Amino acid sequence: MDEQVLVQEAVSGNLDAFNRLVLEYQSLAFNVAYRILYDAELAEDATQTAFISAYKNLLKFRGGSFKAWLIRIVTNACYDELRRKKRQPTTPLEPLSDETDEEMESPSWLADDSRSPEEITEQAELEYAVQHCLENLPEDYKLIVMLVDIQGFDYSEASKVVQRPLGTVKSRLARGRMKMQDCLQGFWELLPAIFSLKDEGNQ
Amino acid sequence: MKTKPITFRQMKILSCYLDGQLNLRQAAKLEKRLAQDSTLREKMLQMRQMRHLVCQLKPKVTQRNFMLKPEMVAAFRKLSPASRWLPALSYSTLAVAVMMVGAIVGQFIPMAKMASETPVEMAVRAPIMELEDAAVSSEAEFPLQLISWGNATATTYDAYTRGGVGGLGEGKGGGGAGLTTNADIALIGPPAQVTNSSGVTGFTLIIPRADTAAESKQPPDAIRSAQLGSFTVFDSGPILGLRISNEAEVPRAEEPVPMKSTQQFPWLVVGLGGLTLLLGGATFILWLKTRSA
Repeated sequence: MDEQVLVQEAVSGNLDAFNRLVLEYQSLAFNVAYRILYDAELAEDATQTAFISAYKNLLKFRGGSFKAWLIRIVTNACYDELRRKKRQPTTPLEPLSDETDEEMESPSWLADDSRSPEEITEQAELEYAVQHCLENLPEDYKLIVMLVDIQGFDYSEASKVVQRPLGTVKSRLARGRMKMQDCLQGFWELLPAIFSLKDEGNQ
Repeated sequence: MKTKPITFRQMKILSCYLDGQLNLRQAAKLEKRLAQDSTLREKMLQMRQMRHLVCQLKPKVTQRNFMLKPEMVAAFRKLSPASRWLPALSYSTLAVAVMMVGAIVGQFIPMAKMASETPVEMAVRAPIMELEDAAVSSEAEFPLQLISWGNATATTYDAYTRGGVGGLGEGKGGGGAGLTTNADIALIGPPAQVTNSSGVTGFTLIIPRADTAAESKQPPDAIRSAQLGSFTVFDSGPILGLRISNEAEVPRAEEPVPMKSTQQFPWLVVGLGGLTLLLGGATFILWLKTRSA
């Protein structure tokens, strides 16, 4: 069914229609939240909060891109969560191993079982490098780089999410990329060769 | 081969070029430049590499389903009574606060108005003393200088009258409707004929001090030197507690209503302030509850 029709039905109180929209966007929403919060559980909570908030505020949706509107709510929920976390800092508890009763450094529930151990390791290294550099970006640049380069938003969608003009998005993206580039320079040698540009053509 | 430093503008253009955001003309121009400038070419390669690297990140997978259940919707709809009351309480608080501010401002308006009034306007608002009261007051240490007149134009130039304490004398040359007083008074003349903006003609009235009343038998020139002050009267009518003699006996149909200020009702401001605090507190608590929910 067309997204606009689903949105209209959801606005008129149809929960099923809204849930179909949730199914469509939940992965994207969770990934955006994860990149901002870098904590799977917090990201899940923020995503759930964002969907509830979206349902409550459906009447305020004035048309246009539902995706951009929803992701804006997700980013706001994440920033609220970050502020809350800043006020009440907590130490996360690592899960205990069944055999040794010691804390596991890499929780197994985050691992994707469909990949080989090498792939998982390489991906973890890349993940660490990119996330580390993303974390070091100013918040405005981080969001734009994450939306455009990681989540694949086009400029106009990103502009709607951050509620800034297209020119601002272009400038922030360029600045963000320059900073990311500088930061990733330190990781080039450490990253597996499969991530180098030569492989782009082979893929 | 050019080795000029790369500006931010060029980096921005490169960034847009990589995303296909340049139009054909801009893209052709950049490609021409890239062919000539190795530094720019290198920067573009680095940016492509960075972009490629970031794109390699796999999306995170979550097992959780974020669909809303009817129970969840019902749960947050249960909170809606608080949400419904919140706007009503907010607007009520605002309305009461505005009323309170209005009441406070209302206290200052009469004061400010009185401060800006001319002496004649003040005279209209001043309490009017009847002739009978004047007779009693005249026995006091400082006898009132009670003056009444009928027609200003009937008072002759250089009129000078002397009335005893408690007694009233009539002015010279003015006939029965002339200037009357229980104190020394002089009209400086020829009366300074002043015409106001409305075209009404008036004259200057000078009243000597009460304590110089004893010396008031002196010639008018001496009184002039002892004058308390002078003011201009237009036409006939009440001025500084004086009133026209033919109006003295007739009750006024249009008595000026003294302005009431909220100073007379301090409980109004206090009450509104209390109500504002009460409603504001309730709104704040409700807002906190709604927010935490």
